[in-house]
Amino acid sequence: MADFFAVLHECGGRKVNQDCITLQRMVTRKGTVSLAMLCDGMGGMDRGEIASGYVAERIGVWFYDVLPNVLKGGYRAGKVSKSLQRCLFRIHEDLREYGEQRGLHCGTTFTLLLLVGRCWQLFHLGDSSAYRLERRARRITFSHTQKGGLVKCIGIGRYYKPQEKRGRWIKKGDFLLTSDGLQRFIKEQDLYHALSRERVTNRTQAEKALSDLAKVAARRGESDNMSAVYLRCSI
Amino acid sequence: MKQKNICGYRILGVLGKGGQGTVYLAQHEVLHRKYALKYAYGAERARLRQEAAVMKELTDRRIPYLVDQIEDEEVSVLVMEYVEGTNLKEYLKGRVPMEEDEALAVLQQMTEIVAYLHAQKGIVAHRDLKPENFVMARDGSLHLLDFGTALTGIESLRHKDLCGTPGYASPEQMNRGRSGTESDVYALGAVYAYLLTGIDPTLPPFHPPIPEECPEGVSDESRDFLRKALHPAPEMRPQDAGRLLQEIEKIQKRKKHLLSGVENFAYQTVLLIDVFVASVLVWLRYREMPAEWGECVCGGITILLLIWHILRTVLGPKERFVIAREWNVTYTSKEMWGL
Repeated sequence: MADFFAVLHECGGRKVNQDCITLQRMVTRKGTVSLAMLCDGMGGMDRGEIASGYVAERIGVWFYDVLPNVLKGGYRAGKVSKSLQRCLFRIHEDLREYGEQRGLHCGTTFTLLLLVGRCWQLFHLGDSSAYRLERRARRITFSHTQKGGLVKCIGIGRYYKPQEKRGRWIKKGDFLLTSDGLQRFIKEQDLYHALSRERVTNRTQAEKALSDLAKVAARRGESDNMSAVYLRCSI
Repeated sequence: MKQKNICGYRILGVLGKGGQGTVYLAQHEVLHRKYALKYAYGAERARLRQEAAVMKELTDRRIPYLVDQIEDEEVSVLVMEYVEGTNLKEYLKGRVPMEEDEALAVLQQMTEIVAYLHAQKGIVAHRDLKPENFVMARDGSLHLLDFGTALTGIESLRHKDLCGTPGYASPEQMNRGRSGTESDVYALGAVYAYLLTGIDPTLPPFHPPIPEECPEGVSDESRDFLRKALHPAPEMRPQDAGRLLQEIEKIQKRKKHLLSGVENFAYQTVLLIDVFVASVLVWLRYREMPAEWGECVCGGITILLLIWHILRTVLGPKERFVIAREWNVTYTSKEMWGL
């Protein structure tokens, strides 16, 4: 079960933060289910905040309305994955249609982490990142970029199946989701060092650590939106 | 020490003493109306001014209104409405442990007042909720007193200071951490635990009773409620009294559904009688005795029970898979819902 979360949501050098973060949790008869999602509305595209916000809204609805029915018979990662992908496909179609009607490009990347008991399941598309913080920060997502350009996202072009990863945490599991704005100038070891369990014991400290990381990134020349979600899980 | 009369108010007696000053009962010499006067000296004066700043914005009838603020060279005085009634702590003596319904009704009244505070534009956190600070007026309504530790404004809600009463104060308050609306939620949880168990949290070891200490008749919903409200981590509790109120309403609704337990009992009893009568009829037929009227009644009851059962299954209350929704936080620059 996730103990607490900390969020960073900063504009950086831009006027609007096109990133969107959503955190949801429900207590069910079979345990606690948590969801953390980070969507990075694409800066090069028009109205990135609409795409990212819309995806977060729809996933929130899926989490409360559809997922409980999927989990009623017990947690099965395959069933959850199918259900979520059906939802993602519909979101992609809706966004694409909305963009085509208005001549816009509404696209967003997303990284979605689902925690069911001690199991975690990750869905990812785009250039954001997810890390597991154990003895070091271990990146568990691919970057869907080629020659510096994003090649996969949701809402534009054809539908791509998201990268999926599953796992279990034993005694503790700490996760970090970051947008590309934060990870570009910050090394993995710095991320781990700032958010290690020795340094961070509560939400306030975690938010301070994330804020400090954002300041460092800004000093190193980052002008993009910077967003991150830190989740602390233990028994 | 006998207080001097001030600005036309004649002191009649002491109402109470607290960490933030002494409260006197006074009568206005011209209007002959009774008021509560709170005196503060020295360093306490700043706290009293802060209390006045919080109280002047509050207009709910369940909160005493601020009449005047008097500043002397050596003393600050707050003149407040005097609520006649019994202190809730006194009222509860001999009444706790209460039945769950009764305890819920008291808690609901308390939470409604606190929800009003939390719903204010600047968010007001009381930070010292306990039965002593509630007065039960003659009409049975509860009134909240003593805003000495209350803070308003989102920034000020994150003050780090030691406040509250051991037993009712949340762990973050006792550790000089940040305290805000979540601390009020904890205190309300502690009050509810006290109402259900009769164990006074202000006595050693100075912590509220845990859900497992509740009497047997207390429902699982109330125990879950206590687990949530008394969670040591503030972010795991319902974030304000408004949400707590929703939880209370859910428990009350759930308890109404429990009436269906009586319904179930009646259903099963009638079913048993029906089976018994059917067996007797079969036996009578076997013995070749006339039994047509009996068959009709028995068949009718069976069909009615069957319809009742089907309707209950389809339309009746179902066990909810999702017990509670938490967090529900979204950070976005998008302004409207949908595309």
